[in-house]
Amino acid sequence: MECWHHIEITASGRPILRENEKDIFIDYSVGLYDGKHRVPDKQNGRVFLTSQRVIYVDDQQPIECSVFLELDNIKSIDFSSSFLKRSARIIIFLNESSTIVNTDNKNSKNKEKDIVSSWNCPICAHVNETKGKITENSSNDLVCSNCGIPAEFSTITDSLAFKTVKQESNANECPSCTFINHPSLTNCELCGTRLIHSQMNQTRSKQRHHHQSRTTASKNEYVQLSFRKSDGSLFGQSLEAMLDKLRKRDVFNKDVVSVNGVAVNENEIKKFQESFDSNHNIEVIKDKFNSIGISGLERSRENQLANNDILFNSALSDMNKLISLAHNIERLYKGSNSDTTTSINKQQPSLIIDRDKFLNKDLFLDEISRDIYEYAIAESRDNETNNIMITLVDLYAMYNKAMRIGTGFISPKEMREACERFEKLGLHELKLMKINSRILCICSQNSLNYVAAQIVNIVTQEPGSDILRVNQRLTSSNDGKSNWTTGVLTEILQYSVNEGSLVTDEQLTGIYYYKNKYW
Amino acid sequence: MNFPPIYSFPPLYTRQPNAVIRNKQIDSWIDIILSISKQQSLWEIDSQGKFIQSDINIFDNKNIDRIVSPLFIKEILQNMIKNQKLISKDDVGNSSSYFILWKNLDSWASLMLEWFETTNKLNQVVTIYELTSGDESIDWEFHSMPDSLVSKCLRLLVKRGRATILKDEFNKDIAIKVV
Repeated sequence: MECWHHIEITASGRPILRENEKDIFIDYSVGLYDGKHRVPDKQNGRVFLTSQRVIYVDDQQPIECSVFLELDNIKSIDFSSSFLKRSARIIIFLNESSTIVNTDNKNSKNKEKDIVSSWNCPICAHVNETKGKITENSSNDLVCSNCGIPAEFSTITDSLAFKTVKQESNANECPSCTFINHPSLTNCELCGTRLIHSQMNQTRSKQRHHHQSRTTASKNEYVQLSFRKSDGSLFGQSLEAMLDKLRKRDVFNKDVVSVNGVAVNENEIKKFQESFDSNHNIEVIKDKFNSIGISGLERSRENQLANNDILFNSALSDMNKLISLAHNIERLYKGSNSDTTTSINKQQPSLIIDRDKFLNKDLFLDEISRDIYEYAIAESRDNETNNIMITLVDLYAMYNKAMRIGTGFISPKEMREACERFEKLGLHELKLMKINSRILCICSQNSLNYVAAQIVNIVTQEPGSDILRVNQRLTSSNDGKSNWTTGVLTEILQYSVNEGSLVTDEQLTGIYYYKNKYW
Repeated sequence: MNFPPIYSFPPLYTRQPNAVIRNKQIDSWIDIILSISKQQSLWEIDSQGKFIQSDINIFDNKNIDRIVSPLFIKEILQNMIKNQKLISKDDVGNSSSYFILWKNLDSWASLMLEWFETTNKLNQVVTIYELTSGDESIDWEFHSMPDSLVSKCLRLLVKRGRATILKDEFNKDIAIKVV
């Protein structure tokens, strides 16, 4: 269980993500196994796959029992499908000492790179510094950083000098932005990338190491995710894809199929083709006599299919690239947009709910429901009394404007259905309420009575107040902050009138309210 | 005129949207109308809510600048008719003005009977003029009661078998003898 770490959860039961962390997939009704044994308390929950972690959020006790697993710690995964009563599982094999090995490797690799060669440019005499030791063989691409003219090895041999740069072993440098973090941080303070040099990461894996040596019984450490309702295959696929991506992350342009229209891994394709052809060539030699006729036709057909395959593969990967670019642009747009519309959630990257991620509409609605709940609370958290009341129409506009759904908007119907789910999901602070049996409002438990009482109070002090006056008084009694829209106030006044606590005086100039003291 | 404090409460003049409250509001109006007509000995009101013998317009409060809408006045009057606080002036029931009954007809009849007894007018013929405008009834509440309303009360006495009505040549009640 050491690989699982406790994670912070919001009030609506959603995990708080790190910076730059994106969620990818969610699955429901998942149980955790440590090795072969069930983990108590963690048998029914949602599992989020993010770009950095696998997060388990318990349904019963989301705050206490939710944990996460770093993707970096995963060595490989295996999938076992459901069989009779056994539900589908993903077996995750853990990297026992990945971080230690990694750092050791890095250090040894760095030893060569630590040497810096300096040389004078024969043209402009600028002193250049190049990483690594320059020898006659490696001097092909020596270009002066000042004048840009390539230098010949023979011309710089005189000025060539080597020195070793000592690397700070303690520095917790971020591999992607080079910011030097505090040694105990596990993720970069600036960009959120996972730090390899972090003490925590190292010690943690060391601890695990110790633990391992003590309990030799569980030598192959692995955990399992058991999917009670779905077959888990989608989750498994996305997890695998994510792990692949993580492994390739360090290599620049790794996935690029073509740059400026020139295929990058053309060689590979060629090689593949060659091998394919050569295989067949042998066959051709073998049955030379059959090269004409049906077998010949078959072979040419096979060749054609293979070529098509290659073409398709490259086309598809091109397409994937395009889509990821489109996603990037979309994210960029969203990022610049969110600064102006929602300043509240700027600090935390919010979970982006994407329709495509959900197996069915029900789960999607569940998730939006949590999101709306969170949003409504966040929007009105300045209110000290924590009385929230907002008409569904207003909330709908605000919510869609905040662009919290991955792509597109939610429909009013979805909004309403989502709000009706609060109770079911155990979100008790807010509820959907029908005021005056016509207006749907999201409000906290006793906000209606609270505001109604406040309004009656104001009207008692100032008989004959109209809605504007009431609003002013409410605002001034609340330190200048008004959390009540006119729409809501109208409804509450109407509610009070229907209750009989207020009476109206309708004039040409407007409706004035009085406390009902006679009837 | 002595108005109750509610008379200067502005919402009184607006028809309240809440039905429960509105019924109480109408009751308040009925109380006000009855008490004013009792104070001023007003007997008749027309369907626009104006008293016939006086120019008081009870539904228009100049002090707080509030006026009751004609529709609501009609509703109030309809309610009074339903509660038998108003009765139509003629027997058919479609006239445009009403008698205000701050006492119901039975009580009026009993009160008149009491008058006959206390003034020793039993077994003698008394004109209706004598009954409502004579000196002997000046301290009684039915003093100045319109003739046709008196006839309605007296007819109750006839029904009880205590009185006989004498009519003039136009078939109009003119005198009564209580036994």
